[in-house]
Amino acid sequence: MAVMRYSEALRLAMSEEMERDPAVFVLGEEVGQYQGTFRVTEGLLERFGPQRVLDTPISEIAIAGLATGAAMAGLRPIAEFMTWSFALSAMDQIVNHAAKITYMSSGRIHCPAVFRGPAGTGNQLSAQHSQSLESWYAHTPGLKVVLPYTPADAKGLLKTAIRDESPVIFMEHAGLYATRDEVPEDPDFTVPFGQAVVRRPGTDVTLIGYSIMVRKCLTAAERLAQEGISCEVLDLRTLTPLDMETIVGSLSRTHRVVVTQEEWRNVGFAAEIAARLADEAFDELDAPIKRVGGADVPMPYAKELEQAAIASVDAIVEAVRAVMA
Amino acid sequence: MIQHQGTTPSRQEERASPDPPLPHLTAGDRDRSLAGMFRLMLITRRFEESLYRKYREGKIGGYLHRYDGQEALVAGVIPLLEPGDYVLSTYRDHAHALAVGTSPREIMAELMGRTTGCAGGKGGSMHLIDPARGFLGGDGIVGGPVPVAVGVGYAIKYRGDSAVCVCYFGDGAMNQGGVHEALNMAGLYRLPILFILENNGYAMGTSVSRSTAQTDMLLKAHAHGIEAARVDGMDPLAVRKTAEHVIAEIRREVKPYFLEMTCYRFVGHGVADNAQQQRFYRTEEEIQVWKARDPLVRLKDHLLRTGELSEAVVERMEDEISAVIEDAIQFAESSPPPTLDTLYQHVYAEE
Amino acid sequence: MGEVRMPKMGDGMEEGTILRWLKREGDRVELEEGIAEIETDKANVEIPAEEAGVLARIVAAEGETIPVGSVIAYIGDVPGGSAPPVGAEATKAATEVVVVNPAPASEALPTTTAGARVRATPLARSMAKRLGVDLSQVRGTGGGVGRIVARDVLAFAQTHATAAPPVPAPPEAQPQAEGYTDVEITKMRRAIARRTVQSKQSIPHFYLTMPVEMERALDMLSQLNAKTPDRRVTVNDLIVRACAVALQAFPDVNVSFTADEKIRRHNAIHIGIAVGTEDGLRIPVITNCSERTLREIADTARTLIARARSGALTPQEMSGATFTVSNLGMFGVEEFAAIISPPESAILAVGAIAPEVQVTDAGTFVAKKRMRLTLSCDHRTVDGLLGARFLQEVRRLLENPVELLDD
Repeated sequence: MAVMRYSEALRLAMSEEMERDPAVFVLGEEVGQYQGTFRVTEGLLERFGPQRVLDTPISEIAIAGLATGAAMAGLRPIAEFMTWSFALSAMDQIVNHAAKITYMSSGRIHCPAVFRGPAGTGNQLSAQHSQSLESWYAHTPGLKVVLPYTPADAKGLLKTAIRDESPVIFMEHAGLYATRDEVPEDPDFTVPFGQAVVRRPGTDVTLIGYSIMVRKCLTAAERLAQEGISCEVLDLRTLTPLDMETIVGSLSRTHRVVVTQEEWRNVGFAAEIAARLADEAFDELDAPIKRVGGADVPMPYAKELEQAAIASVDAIVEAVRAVMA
Repeated sequence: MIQHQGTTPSRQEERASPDPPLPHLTAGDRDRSLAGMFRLMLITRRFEESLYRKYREGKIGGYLHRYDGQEALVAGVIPLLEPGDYVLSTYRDHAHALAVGTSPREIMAELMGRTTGCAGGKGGSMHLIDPARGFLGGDGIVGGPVPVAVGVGYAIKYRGDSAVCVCYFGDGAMNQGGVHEALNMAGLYRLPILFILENNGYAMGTSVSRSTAQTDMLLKAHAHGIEAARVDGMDPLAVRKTAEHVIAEIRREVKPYFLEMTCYRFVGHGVADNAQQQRFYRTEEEIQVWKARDPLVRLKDHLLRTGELSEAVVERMEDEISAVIEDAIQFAESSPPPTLDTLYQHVYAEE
Repeated sequence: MGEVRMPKMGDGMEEGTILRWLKREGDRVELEEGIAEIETDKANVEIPAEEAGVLARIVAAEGETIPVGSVIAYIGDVPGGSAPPVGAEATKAATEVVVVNPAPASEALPTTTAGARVRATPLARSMAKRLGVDLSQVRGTGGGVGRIVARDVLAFAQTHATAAPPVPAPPEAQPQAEGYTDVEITKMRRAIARRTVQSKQSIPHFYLTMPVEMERALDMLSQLNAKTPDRRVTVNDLIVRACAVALQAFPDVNVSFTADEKIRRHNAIHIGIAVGTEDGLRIPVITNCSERTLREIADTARTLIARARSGALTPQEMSGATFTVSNLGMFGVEEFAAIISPPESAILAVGAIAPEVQVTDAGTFVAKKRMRLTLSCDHRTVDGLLGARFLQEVRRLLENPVELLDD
């Protein structure tokens, strides 16, 4: 175990995998010479050379296309998007090509590519740079969608993503890059997909989150404990595959649930979980399912408006009180 | 070459074709003679005609995009490729599959949505694929294969192979942003890719002059630092000669090359683009002018003149081809559709 | 507050009946202490507490049959349990219902107007159904809108004991005018009925009968038992041992046919021995028979049979057999065919040992002690040839019993 930042854990995952498998390479904007916009790829160019740490033009379609084609031809690309906001122009390559080639060919060819980069809201970055779009990808069959919360998960899940034979959408959070925690240094350490984890056990309400929302859920749980309300906090870790067993198991103990997401509330991932719980665990519910998410507006710039638009700890606390009423 | 942890067979170890032994009918045999090129063009034409019949019978669903008139673009190039090379194409992809050597049976079965099809019945006309022969598939999105080809080219260069990736796309794709991103990267990284622009003059019903202010496609390639040349795609000999030269150069120098091949599609964009519909964007006279330059007739006349073919041999070829197509149809029609338990299979690689 | 759920106490258990509560509401409960006695398909067992605390609420009444996994009681810190401290008014209202209107249901204030839909959560609805609570009589305290939640139903049920469903009639005979008597059956009888019907309907049985000469086996047993009269080895023990050795030689008989149409070959040999008791059939299991000596099998069987007769077997002791031996020889039954106990593939039925006249090679007559074995086989897993060879091996071993002596 070593204490390191989330961003360092990601780098360690990549360097270990590049060491292990010569087919693994990194590409993206400013990943090499500039050392990574968020320093995630720092030092990799010096260590692995320009062919395996490829600086690209600002061409998201071609970045995604290059990763897709290289993966189909036997390499294991890790394509970094400077932010997931910029990946929108690459949607055709990701959704129509990477995600579908296995199915379209009845499994005759695969696309083991990882698409990674920071997502999330905050820092007054306003409408085009401050958003969360994981549901767009979770909606698409053929993609796996991963959002790590802890540094250890950042490493273990990214290694699993690189080794996975299917295309993986790996969404980091800019607000978590500086988080420090213990990370296993074992190069064989990986975290399997599809296994949610209980970050805090509790008995009254299940709080579901992923990525930075886990932190907000834990803070809310701490506050609610002082009111005598015991919250169980689940970290989903991967949206696809989704660990419904752990979710239903928790609900069967608490009978109340609040689902949180950073992305817009409308048609977001929390709605999917709510619908599945209504379907699969109807008789366990002792209160309506509440969702907490971002306001359904393009992110405003002014600090006061921004704060009101981002899914907050206060909103989670309110939702929990509502289901406990 | 496709290598997933060394599990995919290399092209040298192709799976046994289920076809009856009829030599020289596909380029899978790498018949690089002009007579072989003619045979490939002929089976392509006849195959498309048979597909149209089957489409009309309701045996084939979805869209059907025919290659009639453009055969030289494929038959002049793909037989020159070596094991380890790659081909990507558009949704007008039947010719490319035949040329890499995918069996007519598997192509016909795929179009009829059968489990024996080259994509297991899940792809259909636009998504023929044969990774074992280096064919990474047709693509239903205009411009879609070009960024993917950049990744394939990058993989070739990464491994230090002397292979070539051939990527086909149409004139409509030249107005797609992703194509220019991809051409730029191919030029920047000097990737061994032969870009073949199938310029048949129309993106569906919109002519080149109505869709771009700069109709000189070579300038667009030059803008990305890629050498480019134009060749008359209705002239099979010119296509073959140019392709021989350019492919050798790509192998030698490891760089991209852009070939604009001017051609004409004798039929509509798809089946729905019938004669009546075509009147909205092109005239009967124009079609007749181009049909008079039919590359199939042109190559046949040339080979009869040089004595490389005789009328009797052509006749026998026609007979053999119709037998192959008949066999493919029977094979497809007697093959089972995929069972419903395969619906959720292959969404992810491990399934 | 912790939930006590109907535990799954053995293979195939789907529900259990509360025989009696060993603790009352408000009683202190220690970890692992028995809080209720339940009747399952196979046995009566105590439910141990999984946490220490106070038995706050009993949800399931004595005599009630509850599906596995359903809540039967709550264990908490405070007698009577505590609703979480939320909106004080709502809690107060709930308390008032309990305290002010403790008796008849009619006095409880309906919270909805007649005919209007009752607002209740899914959990509250399923709980009300189970407890026989009429939701229209319950005052809701949830959601700030008077929605009936689980705690309301529990509180209501607690203060309106009459609302609970009637305890099922005890299994005693009820005279009928038509000249017959319907007798309530026990859970065990119901389980036997269900299992045997299921077995006969789903398993294609066939039967193989073979005579076995038992002279030498009986000689050996009488010598063995003369030495240690207090540790008797019975004919049945010898047969179990023979079956264990034969199953090792024919592992394809020690199998199950799975739901997804595979043959599951069991690594271990666990042999059930059918024991008839006054209440019905019980089949305790001698586990890992191939690893036990004849003496060990005899000792284990003796203990299990005694426990079976006294009704003390645990569900674990009756689970997991891969093969069964059923012996009715002691009652003079010459031969019979037994019903396979799923998911096993075969059962051996043992008949009585009796002298039989035999023609010797020399053409003279001689009386020999013989026994008939009938093997019932599941044809999905065991063919006639395999069954016959297995049975031959059992016979060979019993006719050469020295091979069954302790190694």
